[in-house]
Amino acid sequence: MTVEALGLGKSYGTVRAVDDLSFTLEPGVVTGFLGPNGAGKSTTMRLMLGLDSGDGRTLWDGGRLAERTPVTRTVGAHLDARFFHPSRTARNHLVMLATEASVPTARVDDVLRLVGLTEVANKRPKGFSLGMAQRLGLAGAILADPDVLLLDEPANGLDPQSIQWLRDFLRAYAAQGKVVFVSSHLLSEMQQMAEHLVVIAKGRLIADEALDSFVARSTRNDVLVRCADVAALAAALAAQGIAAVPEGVDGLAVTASDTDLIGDAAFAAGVAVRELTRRTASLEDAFLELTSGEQQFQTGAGAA
Amino acid sequence: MIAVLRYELVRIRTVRSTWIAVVLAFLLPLGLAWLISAPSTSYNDSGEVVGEGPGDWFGAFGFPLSLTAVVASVVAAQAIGQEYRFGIIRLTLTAFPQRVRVLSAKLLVVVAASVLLGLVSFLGSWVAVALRGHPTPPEAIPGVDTPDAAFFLRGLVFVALWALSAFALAGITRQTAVGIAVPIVSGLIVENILQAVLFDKAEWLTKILPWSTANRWFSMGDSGFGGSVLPSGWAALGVFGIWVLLFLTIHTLLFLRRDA
Repeated sequence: MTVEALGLGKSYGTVRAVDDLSFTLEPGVVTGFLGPNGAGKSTTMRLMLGLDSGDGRTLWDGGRLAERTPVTRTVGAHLDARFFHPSRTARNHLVMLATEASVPTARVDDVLRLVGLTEVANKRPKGFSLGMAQRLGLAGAILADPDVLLLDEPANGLDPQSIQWLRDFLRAYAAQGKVVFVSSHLLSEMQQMAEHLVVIAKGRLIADEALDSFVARSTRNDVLVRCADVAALAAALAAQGIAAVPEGVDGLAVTASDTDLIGDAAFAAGVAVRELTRRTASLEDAFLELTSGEQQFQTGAGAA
Repeated sequence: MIAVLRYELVRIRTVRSTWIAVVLAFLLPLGLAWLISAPSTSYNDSGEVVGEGPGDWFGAFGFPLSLTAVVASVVAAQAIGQEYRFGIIRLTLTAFPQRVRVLSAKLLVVVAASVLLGLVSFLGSWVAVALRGHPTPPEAIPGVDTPDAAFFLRGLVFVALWALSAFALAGITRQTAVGIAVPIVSGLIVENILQAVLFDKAEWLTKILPWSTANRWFSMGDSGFGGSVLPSGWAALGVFGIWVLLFLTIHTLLFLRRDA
């Protein structure tokens, strides 16, 4: 199963929330969906599911979602943790969702056990914490063991243990050859969870690539060199066409990933090296760098 | 279609308010019918008691149905209003992308639930009149209304149409409260004022007001405010049915087009 989003678009009045967005979700990997607040992530997911009207189309293994019955065996969506009736018990909520694909009630109990809600299965979810509500939403999404999971901020409100469980679960789910598409603003989590990224800003596609290659694009991938003579080493590197910026009293931030090259240059220049450290940008570094100025709603500091 | 119907049935039977509605649909008519069906005392011209007649069977079954219609409207308005309020409509339409089927299933379930509540209401009324010692209808008396099969059928149609009007209004506005309140406020207050204001200026208009006309479903006569002639029985339900059809058409168009 592959999912192809083709030319998705949506306007609210004069604001173009999603603009000609195209990407493909491949099976077997967790694809992270990133973007600043208001970038259009949730709208994109709703467009993919046909919940919102807009431009473009989404193909589910080459066909429309409505043609694939039972639909919940094709896609399980978790769009908001609070999408439940407060007086319908957690179990009944899932029993209701199970009807479309005729999922047996034994599976409902299995899924409740899987997400750790067995003890509150017959309680009304109006008193659920955000974390428990997230688990219930996730339970609804995976109920029919769908080929595709679409999850919008599923880690919100989860404690660290639950986040780790979610990460492991989603990676294992994708490893079964299924499509997992998950949005999150927890970039450190996304870095550990996702292998591929779709990044949008102001409704437009910024990146659709492997996480490693996305991070590698950051200028914050460099090498820190601490040495006895900063000026001499900088000159030696410049002679080889390698840029270096002074950092601290005795340091140089060198924009090159080859530490051997830097070490050889220092040796040739007769400069004693005290530290040679490759520094890799985090997903957060890369994300902030690539989406700077693309926020829909900037804070005072960001706008200044 | 079967799957979405099953979904709707699970939806409606797994919320507490549905069962509260069923209990109310029994108890309210029971209490009201008990009061209405009290034996009526007959007096002669001198004011002396000459006997006691059977209670008002017609009123005991007819009047409580207005309350039952309101109870049914709560169930009906919740069928769509609460889906939007709690975001469940997105789960529903993800599982069932064919919106026509979803709406059809909701309509069927609302009608079925309304008819069921109407029958429960009749049962409550019957228990009351039975407790009063009149488990069977009184013999027909010339000039006195006696419920017949058509009366009960009209009653069920009235409850179902009232509920559908609430369903459509809640769907149009995506607000449960609007679906429940507008028929009550309009039927009991606004339209009565309009009738008083319009009867000598545009009498025809007073005959086509939706909920006040619906309330004449059990009326055998046709007299109205100031001696005007108003539709009664099936005609009243016909007028109301056209309004309900209009509301449902608007709701359907919006439901099919707008974002979930």
